[in-house]
Amino acid sequence: MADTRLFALVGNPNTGKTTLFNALTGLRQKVANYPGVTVEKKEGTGRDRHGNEFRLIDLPGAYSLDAKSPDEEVTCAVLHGERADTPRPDAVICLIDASNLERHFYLATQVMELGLPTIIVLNKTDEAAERGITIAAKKLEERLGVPVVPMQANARVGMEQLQVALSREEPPKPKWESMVGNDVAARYEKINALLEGTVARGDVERLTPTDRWDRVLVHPVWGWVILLGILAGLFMTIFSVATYPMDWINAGFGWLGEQVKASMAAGDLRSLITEGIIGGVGGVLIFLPQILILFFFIGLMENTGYLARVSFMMDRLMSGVGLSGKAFVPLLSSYACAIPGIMATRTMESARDRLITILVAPITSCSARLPVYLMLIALMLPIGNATQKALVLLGLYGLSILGVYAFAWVFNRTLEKTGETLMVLELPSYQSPSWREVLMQLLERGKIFLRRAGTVILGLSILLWALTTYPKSDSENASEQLAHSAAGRMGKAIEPVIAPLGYDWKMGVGLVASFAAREVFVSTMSIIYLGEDATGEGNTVREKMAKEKRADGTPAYNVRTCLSLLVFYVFAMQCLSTVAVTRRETNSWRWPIFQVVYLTGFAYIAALATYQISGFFLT
Amino acid sequence: MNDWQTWTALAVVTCTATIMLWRILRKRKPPGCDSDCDSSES
Repeated sequence: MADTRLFALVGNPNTGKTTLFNALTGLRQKVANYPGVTVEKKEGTGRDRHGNEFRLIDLPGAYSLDAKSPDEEVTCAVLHGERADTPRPDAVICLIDASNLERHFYLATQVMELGLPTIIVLNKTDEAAERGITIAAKKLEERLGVPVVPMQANARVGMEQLQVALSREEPPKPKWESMVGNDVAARYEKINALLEGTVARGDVERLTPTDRWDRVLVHPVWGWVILLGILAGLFMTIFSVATYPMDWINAGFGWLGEQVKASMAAGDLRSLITEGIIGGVGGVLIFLPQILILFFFIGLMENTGYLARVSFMMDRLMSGVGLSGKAFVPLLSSYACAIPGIMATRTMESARDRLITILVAPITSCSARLPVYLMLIALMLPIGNATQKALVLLGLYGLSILGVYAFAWVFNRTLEKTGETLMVLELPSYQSPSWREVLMQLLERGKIFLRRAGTVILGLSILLWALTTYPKSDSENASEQLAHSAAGRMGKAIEPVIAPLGYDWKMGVGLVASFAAREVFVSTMSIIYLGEDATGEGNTVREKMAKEKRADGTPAYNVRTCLSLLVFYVFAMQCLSTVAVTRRETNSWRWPIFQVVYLTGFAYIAALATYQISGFFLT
Repeated sequence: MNDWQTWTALAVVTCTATIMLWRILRKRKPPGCDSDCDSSES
C-alpha cells in the first residue's frame, strides 16, 4: 500500500470536482473532517488502466492559493505538505472550467508553481463549445509540458484520456515558470500570453441556454415568484407526500411494541423496551421521510445549478441586515439541521459574517423541531383542518425567519466591524441533475439521521425512561409514581420558574430533557404518558395529553400553553450537538455559551410574553 | 413483579449511562484520525 500514488483534485468551486471525484472513485470513498477544522475531507480510491490502485483526495474548492477562507487554507496546506494528517500528494489533477479559462488558470498556474506533477483537466468543454470557444488542447499541453485533458465529466466524456494520463509511470512536471510575489495583474498578463493562439472565440458572443434560463430565473420579479413557488411546493411536499411513509413507520413501531408486549410478561424490562426504546426512538424516526424529502429538494436545486442563483438573489435581501448572500446556503441547510448549516459557513471569507451566521443559524426551524411543532399544533387545534394547521406551521417558520433577520441585524450593529469583503459567487451553468449524486447525498443524510437515532436519541431515551421510572413509589397510581420519580422531582423543582409561561411540571420534564436534543420532548412525552397508562388501553400519546387536566380541572394543553411552548421551541437553543459544533467552528467556548444564553433567555421572554399577552384574548 | 426484568433494565440503563459518559469525556482523537471525526455531531 505504501507505493499507492496519491492524487489531489484541485479546482475552483463549481468546476465539477465532485462529479469527477465520484466518476473516478465510484462508491469507494469516505468522508470525514480534517482534524482541528470542520472542513470536509473526501478521499477515495480508483484504478488506473493497468489496474493499479491510486488514492484520490478531493480538496476543498479554492479560487487561489492566497488562502482567505478555511477551505482555501486547507487546500493550500495539503498542497504544500504542511498538514500532519495528510501526506503531500504525489501529483495534482487541476480542474479548469473550459468556458472561463483565464480566471480558472489563476489557481492552476499557482498550483503548477508548486512543482508537483500536474494533469490539467479542461472540464465543461460542451459549455465552452456552446459559447463558441474552441481550445487547442495539444498546443496548451506543449506550452505547459503537462497532460491537458478536455472533458465533460458529467457525461464521462474524456475519461479514457484522463485514465491514460493517470496511468503514466512518471507524470511530467509543469514547465510553467514561477512568478515572484503576488501581483494579480502580472499573473493575468502571463495567463493571457499562455492562452494566446490556443483559444479561439466566435465573433459573436452566443446566448447559451444558461443565459436564457437566467433571464427568467434571476429576473427581479419572475425570479422571486418562481423561487417562492418552488419553496411553497417544497413545504407542501414535505407535509403531504411524507404523511404516507410516516404512517407506515408509525404502524411498524406500533406493531413492534405489540409484539414485545405479547411475548413478555409485564415488568421493567418490557416497559423499557416498549415505552423507552420503541416509544422514544420510534417517535423521532418517524420524521425520517420529511428530512429525506427536504434534502432531496436541496440536492436537486444544488445539482442543477439553481441554488447558486438563489444565493445571488438573496444577497440583496441579506445585505439589508448585514449578511452576505453566501449566508443563504448555510441558513437554508440549517432548516434541515443547524449542524451542516454551521459547517457550511466555512465557505464564507469574512470571519465576521461567518460568526453572525453561526450565531443565528440555530433559530432556523430545523427538522428536529418538526416533531414538537406537529405534536403541539395537533393539540392546539384538535378539530382544526389541515389548512389551519399548515398556516400555524407556516407562521412558526415565518417567526424563525424574522428571528434570524432581527438578531443578524442586532449582531451586525454590535459586533466589531472588519473590512468589507466582496462577494464572489460562481454561477455554474444549469445542467440536468445527476440522479446518482443526488441519491448518494440523500443516502449519506439518511445514514447520519439513523446513526443519530440509534446512538444519541436511543441513549437519551433509555436514560429518560430510567428517570421517569426510578425511584419507585409504593403507589400503584401511575401519576403518583411519575411525580415520585427523579424526572418528576426535577420537573417540580423548576415548576415555579416555568409556571408564568403556562407550563406544569410534566412539561418541565420535557423541557429539561430536550435541552440535549429538541425532538426528545416528543420522546419524553411518549415515555411519560405511555408510562402513566399502565393498562395501555386505547388512546395515543396525543390523546392522553389532550385529556391532561390541571389542578383546577382546566385542560393542561390549552391554546395559550401550546402557543407559548411553540414560541419557546422556535427560539430556544436545545441541541448539545449544535453547541459542540459552534465551539469547534469558533474555536472558543465564549460563543456557544453566549448562543445558549441569548437564545434560551429570549425564548423564555418570548414564551412568557406570548402566554401572558394571549391571556387578554384567550381563556 | 418480574425481578429479573428489573435487574436487566437497571443493567441496560447503567451501561447506557456509562457509554454516554465515556463518549462525552473521552479524549479527542489524535490528528492522525481519518474518519468519523465528527460522526456523533451530525
